[in-house]
Amino acid sequence: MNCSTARDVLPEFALGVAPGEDADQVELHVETCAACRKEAVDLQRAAASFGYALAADGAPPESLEQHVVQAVHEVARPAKHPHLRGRRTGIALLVAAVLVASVGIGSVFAGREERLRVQAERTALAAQAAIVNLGGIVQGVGGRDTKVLSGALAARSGVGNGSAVTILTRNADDQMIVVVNGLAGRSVPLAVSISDTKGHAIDVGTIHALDTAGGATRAWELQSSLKGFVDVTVRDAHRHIVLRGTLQAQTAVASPSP
Amino acid sequence: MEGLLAGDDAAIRALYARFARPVYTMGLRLLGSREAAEELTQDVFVTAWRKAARFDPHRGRLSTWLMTIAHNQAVDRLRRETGVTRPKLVLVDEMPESPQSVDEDLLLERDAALRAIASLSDAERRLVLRTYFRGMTAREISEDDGIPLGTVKTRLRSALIKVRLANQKELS
Repeated sequence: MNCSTARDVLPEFALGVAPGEDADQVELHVETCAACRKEAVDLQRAAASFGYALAADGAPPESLEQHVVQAVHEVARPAKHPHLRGRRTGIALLVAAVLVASVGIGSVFAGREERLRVQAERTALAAQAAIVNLGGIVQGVGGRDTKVLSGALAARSGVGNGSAVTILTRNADDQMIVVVNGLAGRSVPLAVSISDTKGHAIDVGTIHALDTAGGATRAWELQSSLKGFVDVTVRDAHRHIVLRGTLQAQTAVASPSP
Repeated sequence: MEGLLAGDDAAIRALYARFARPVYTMGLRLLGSREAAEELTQDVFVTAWRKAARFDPHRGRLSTWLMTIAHNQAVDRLRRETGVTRPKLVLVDEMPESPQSVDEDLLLERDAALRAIASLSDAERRLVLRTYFRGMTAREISEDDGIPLGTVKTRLRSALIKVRLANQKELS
């Protein structure tokens, strides 16, 4: 993103309503552009005036202070035990390695549409089988406090598929891994989000590029709890839903035959 | 902020004492229920802890940073919860102040904010209110009002710059 484009988005960015991908790009741009960063800060300061101008309607309940302190302590705990972070990173690497091993061969068939489609289906099944069988491994590395949810992602239009895994820990510093296949031709970046049953959603991250088979594997450390978040949605650059699926606690399944 | 980063009890409580009320008020006004406002307040302070290492006092004020976090989270939630009856938004000059004591710094901040907003025309004020409090994007306003997207963006920028200049006058 250049300065001109960033300046066009900055007012909406400051007002908190810039579309997701625009906001991501502005954030990246202002990290490296001092002039736009100053403009962003000034506009955010102006926007915050509207927040301060709101009439107070009663004070927060007294009990809320204790809840806030406890909530911060809960998430602050892992920082006091850096070895836990290292162990979680190890788990993510392990999961990502297994997924890549299952899926990364798809690009070999680039250009041969039918074989590619069949391969994409197979690799998705292989990935799904791999991730649902990871439970024991992850549990072994992560201990009893680690929980793994996984599931297949299905295409709305019938083209493409994928898998997703969440790794939940007691420290609420959770991770998510997504594998997609057969999405060649879809407009990128793809945006991955996950929501709970009440409809609360977390924007997990974006997949900026696909390989020639329309595949990609991405892992994110979210620094927030994914407990209760099970519905995964992948949207293309036009915000159209391309893949969707629901995660569940693991039960082992057999790998598909090659 | 260092205390907050360390999860220090006193630092969290000090930050809470200073900012809980405006954050809670924002939650109440944007999301419409005490329960949602409490959830938002909790989420904002947890997010502040997570992002504390990235806060740079040379780039902006702590109050702006925290209110931006609060507002972004409230708008995200507002936009997700379509169908929710959105509360009527009342600025402080349209509503009698609560008799409960309010932090003096907060009152000063609010007075300065109201003076800055008063520099806007009614049309500019309504335009910003629709984005800031209702979470409407420039495109949505453009479609609703039947005016070009570029015009909406230009007007939003112009309104924010007016408020910014008024803020700067307050400071000087």
